Amino acid sequence: MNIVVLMKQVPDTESELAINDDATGIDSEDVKMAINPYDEFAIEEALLIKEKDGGGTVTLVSVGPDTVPEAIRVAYAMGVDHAVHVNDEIDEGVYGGADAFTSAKIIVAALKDIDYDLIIAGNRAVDGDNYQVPAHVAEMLGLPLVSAVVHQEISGDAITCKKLIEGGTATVRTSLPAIITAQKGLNEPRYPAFRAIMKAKKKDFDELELDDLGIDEKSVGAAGAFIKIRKLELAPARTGGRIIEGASPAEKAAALVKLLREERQVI
Amino acid sequence: MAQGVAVIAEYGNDGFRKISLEAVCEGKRLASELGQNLTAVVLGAEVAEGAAELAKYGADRIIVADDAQLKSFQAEPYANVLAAILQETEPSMVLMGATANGIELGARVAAKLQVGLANECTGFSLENGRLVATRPLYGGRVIAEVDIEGTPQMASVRPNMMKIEENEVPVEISRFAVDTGEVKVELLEENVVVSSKVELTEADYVISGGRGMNGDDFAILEELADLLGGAVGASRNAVDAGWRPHSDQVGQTGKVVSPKLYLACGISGAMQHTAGISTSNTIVAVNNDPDALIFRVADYCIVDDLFEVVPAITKEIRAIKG
Amino acid sequence: MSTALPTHAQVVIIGGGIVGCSTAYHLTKAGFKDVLVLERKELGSGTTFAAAGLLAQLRQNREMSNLAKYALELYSRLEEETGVATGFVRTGAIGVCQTEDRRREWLRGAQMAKAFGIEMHEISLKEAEDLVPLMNTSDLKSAFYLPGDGQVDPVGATQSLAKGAKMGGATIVENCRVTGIVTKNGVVKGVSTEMGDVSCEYLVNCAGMWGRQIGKMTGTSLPLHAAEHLHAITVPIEGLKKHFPTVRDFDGYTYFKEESGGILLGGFEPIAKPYGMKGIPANWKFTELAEDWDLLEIFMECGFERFPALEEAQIRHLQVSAESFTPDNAFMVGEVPGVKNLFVGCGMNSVGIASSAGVGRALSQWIENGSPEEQLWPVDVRRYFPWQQNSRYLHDRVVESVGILYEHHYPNRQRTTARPVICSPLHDRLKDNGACFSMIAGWERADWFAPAGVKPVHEYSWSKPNWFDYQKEEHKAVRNGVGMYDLTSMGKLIVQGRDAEAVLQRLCTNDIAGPIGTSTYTPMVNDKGGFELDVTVTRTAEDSYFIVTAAGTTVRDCDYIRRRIPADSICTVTDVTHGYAMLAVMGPKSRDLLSALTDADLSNEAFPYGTAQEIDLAYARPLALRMSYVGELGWELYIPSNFALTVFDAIMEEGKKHGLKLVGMQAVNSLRLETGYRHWESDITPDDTPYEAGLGFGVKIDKGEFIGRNALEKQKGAVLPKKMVMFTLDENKDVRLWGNEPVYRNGEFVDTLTSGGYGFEIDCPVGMGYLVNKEGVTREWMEQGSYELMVEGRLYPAKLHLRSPYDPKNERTKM
Repeated sequence: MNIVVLMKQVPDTESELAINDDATGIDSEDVKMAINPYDEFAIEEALLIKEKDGGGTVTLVSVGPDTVPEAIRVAYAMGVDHAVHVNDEIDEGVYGGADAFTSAKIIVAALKDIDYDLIIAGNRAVDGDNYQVPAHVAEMLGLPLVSAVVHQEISGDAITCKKLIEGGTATVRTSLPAIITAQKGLNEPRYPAFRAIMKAKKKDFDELELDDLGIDEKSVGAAGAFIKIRKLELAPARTGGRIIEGASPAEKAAALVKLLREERQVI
Repeated sequence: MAQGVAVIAEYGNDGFRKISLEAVCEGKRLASELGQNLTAVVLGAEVAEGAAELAKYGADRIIVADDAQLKSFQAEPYANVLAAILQETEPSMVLMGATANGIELGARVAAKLQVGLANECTGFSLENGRLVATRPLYGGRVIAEVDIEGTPQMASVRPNMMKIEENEVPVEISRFAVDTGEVKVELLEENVVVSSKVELTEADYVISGGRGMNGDDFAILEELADLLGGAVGASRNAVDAGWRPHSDQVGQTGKVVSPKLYLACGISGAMQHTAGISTSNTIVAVNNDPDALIFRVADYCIVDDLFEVVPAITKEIRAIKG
Repeated sequence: MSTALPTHAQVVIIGGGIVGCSTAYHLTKAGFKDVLVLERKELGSGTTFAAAGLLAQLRQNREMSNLAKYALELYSRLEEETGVATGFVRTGAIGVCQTEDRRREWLRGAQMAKAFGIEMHEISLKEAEDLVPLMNTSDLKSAFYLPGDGQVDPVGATQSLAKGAKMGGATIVENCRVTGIVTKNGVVKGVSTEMGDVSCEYLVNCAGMWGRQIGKMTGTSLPLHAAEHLHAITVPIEGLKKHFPTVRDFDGYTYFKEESGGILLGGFEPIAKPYGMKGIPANWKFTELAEDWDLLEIFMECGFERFPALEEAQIRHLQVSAESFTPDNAFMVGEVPGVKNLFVGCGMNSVGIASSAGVGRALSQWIENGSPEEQLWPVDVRRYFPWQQNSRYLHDRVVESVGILYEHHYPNRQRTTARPVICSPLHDRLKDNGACFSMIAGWERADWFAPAGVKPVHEYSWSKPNWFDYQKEEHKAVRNGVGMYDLTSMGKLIVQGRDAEAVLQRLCTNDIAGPIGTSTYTPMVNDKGGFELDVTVTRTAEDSYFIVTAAGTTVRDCDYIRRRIPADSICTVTDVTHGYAMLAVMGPKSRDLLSALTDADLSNEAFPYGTAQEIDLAYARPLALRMSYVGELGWELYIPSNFALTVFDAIMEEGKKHGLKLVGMQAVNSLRLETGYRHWESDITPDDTPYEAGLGFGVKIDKGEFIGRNALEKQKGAVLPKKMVMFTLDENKDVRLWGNEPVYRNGEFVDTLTSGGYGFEIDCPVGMGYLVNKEGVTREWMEQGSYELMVEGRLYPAKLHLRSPYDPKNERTKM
């Protein structure tokens, strides 16, 4: 069983972000990066399948800038066998402004020479929060897609998944090759062991550029994206709020409920 | 020539989801500004009768795809049918609620039609007849204004952002012939849980208790949570004291929640806790101690006895709900 | 709830980290009601939050150890007082030794600890393993246990201090960045912030990594530089004891503690990674930097050895953050030179949590009383020089600074980075003569001279460093022949003006009103009679005095004098250190040598001890001071810098006929020690009076009013609670004294030596220190004791000397 995992490196969810000078992207210098948490579920699940299977390879495919190799190192330490990094940070204009469609295009080109039975991706990336790369990849490759998977079982060339839907779960089945996306609850990703991280430093991975895949710069990045960013700004910070005054607890409660209804519209 | 606004409305167990009504109303607003029609689209089984309700909110046209095969939500057949509907009706923009289903469905259709889809939008404007959307990025830390390429432009709407307004208009209701197309993923079983206990991380309302609860009797919090259809959470202190189970713990080492309303009762507000609630829409804190750290992150602060305040809040809300 | 910004506060503190909050807390305890803390983002969001929270009591000296001890005491009771948890746990700590040298270092450390009132003793490896299950001790030579050490949760402790401060009336405003400092006539007036202006009487800079930027607002040099600092936390490890004693493996650069069932490890690497060369990002808030696994490698390697379970352990979190380090790895506290009422508490070198309590308390004492209760020179901000603000210097030095905490702390250990900075005009001459250089206050100084064929490189040792025998030759040359040393690094100040005499008479304890050409040794003391300055004052004109002080105290001394020149006096003080070189020619043959080079009459009649004259020498006219720091006949020649080279060459040429030997700082130190001369900073401090130090001859109590006269008058002739004496180890010549060795009288611990070394002329180890007795130190009491010195855990019988063992009557200098 050969598995491909799609991985995206994103700014750490705890880090403070700053907007770049022309407000079209974040200032990425000095920002701590991390493997997209949902992709960690994907990596873990691929490793679990491989361990259960007793064979096969897990290949990581990631499109991103110069910092991606750090994430690949951690993925290797977790147990991933091989990695492909498509570095699209050739010039800032090309990297900035990528969207799900352009990313999927590059991923599909990178997958051309890779053998896989299953592709696992994260259900969403916590930077763009746009949920669409797997759908585009599935459409371009003509693969069945099961999203928001919280449990899976492979038997022969069929994969049965429990997935989240609004209000509950559904159990579905499809045949391989297929693409599934990992939802929170699928597994608890393992942490890398240090020795493994140091060994991973010497491990090779494929470093590709857009040219190597025959992709025209103009068809990706901001030029080729369906979602084009006009302007970004930081969300207003929570600065601490109002004291609700009142002569009695009942009075304060009444004042609060009124504010919650009228000002915040949460009731 | 593409024109008009289409809104995909989700019909749940007992009527349209609130978010779908919000999307319909927003769609109406946009359609009116464009001077064009609003078409509501409903997919499901035995939904035709209920679908008519959408006329109340301004739908000029309601297209119903009613078929037994569409009884349970499944991405493929729904996407196939919806794509067909859109290809026939040719709206210039399509809205839907950013529910789990809506997000999945939207992605499939956008990929099929090769158009842009902006998810979880918090607001829209029009420019030269084209939709411009505002949406959160980086877990809500950044707000973006985006253009959506392709026709129809697609967008999903974040809950609790758009106003619901009644606007009864004459409506044309039609049935769409359903052809679910090629379905590669087979549905084996569906488990839609109608549970009284709402999952903490998905709850719209979280009522949380800390050391100030002085014991494991969280009844007053449970009462309020039930009334609002929310869940009860706990701080690390309350869990460490053995008053609540670990699965109720909210915070860095517990669960991260993002409800509409987070009510922190008798919680001091150490950083580990506030890290678990920072993306909540509204945070209210009730604590006897005016210097409690929780007040630094709360939108509304009540310095008083929670054992008096919380029941009073419950009483107020009950009176409103009637 | 956001707090409105007041327009005035008596004390404004910039920075709401643990140091700023501790300062606010202690100020309120001291009775200050109007205290305002301005925090640029959120409390603890700079460096505090990333700390491991360790509270280690034993530091490199008594002063810092006392500050650290207090942290254990404060944090153990703070939660009860404020209701906010500090996470305090008394875990204890274990230091492990991989080498014999490290063990020797820790034996000395343990006896120092005891002297400071900190429980610490050597334990067996088995005991160590029992205290820390899972720890491997098979490669260790020894282990030491400090049961009193502990830990806190850094942010919790900060919040608790903040709460305590607020309970005491302080105001804390967050999300308020200071953008400027307002001063008028050299006095702090207030600050400007993003939210408005605040006027104040006192201002304290506790701005952590931003401390240097804040310092620049008043043109003050606060030499700190950030470096990356990390620690890793593993997933839970079975068998690990909760809150096991913090393990410190200095040889492996690593410390270990328990964290949520797993191991947290971090450390201090010998080659560090500087950070923030372009400034600290403006949006820094609880910020973590990119994971650097390579940086962790050196600590993990130690970890695999010390805790084999780490081989398989998974790493839950690698936290990389940044914090401030200073060029000498000691933090900076106190009143900033050049500006009145501006204080600083920054540059914590990763011991911020442990030092926070003491630093906050010291600052509140400083503001309340003008000085801390216990003198704090090792961490006093006045020890820094303006040139140390140089960014390149700070960057290059921080690479080494980080690792200082865990390096082998051999005596005389030198820094290797960011050198050389300041060289005397004679530097290359000394180098050509085989000088091995040491560095102090940026100055390269010949430490000792290597004979031909020997590499001029320090090889450290606790027993006999490689230069020991060369030092002996130099030492004996000065005692029996003639030697020359270059002390251009001495600080030189010129105090001049119509009122110079009056100003200095009020500051000096000695009478400096003598005729032109008089050189007077004089202390300058504080209100308690303690040594603030220890200088030589030479009158060069009716209205001009030439003051010589130590290299390291020049900024401090100049600032001290300047602040005490009354506004209406016509008197200035100027630092002329770099204008003069100084060559000292010392020894019984010095007169012969110099007489051959000058026509001046160098006899006792014409040129008595304690006088100064301008004399011809070679083609120059240096100021010759007949004073000696090494206790022999000789002259200190103060030569305008650009003449120094030719003077040196002339002396060296003539010196060939007299057997002149070049002498380095090691020998200078053993010479002065053997002859009983005190050294400011180690032997005499602001907490010691001239009478206690046996330097009463420097006090002329009846000359008129001077600062500290009242306190000294009470002491004159009275029985004092402490008195300086000297010791020799006549029977144990191979035992090394380096200073800090505990002194025992009749089997009971008294105090520690303030200086120690080898007296090559008397041929035995020699040291000096204070004998302390509550009931008074009388001659009788002193002579009734039998004395021992503890060295590396063993007691050796010591001979007491009430006067110096060499030339007790001080006759040699007057030859």
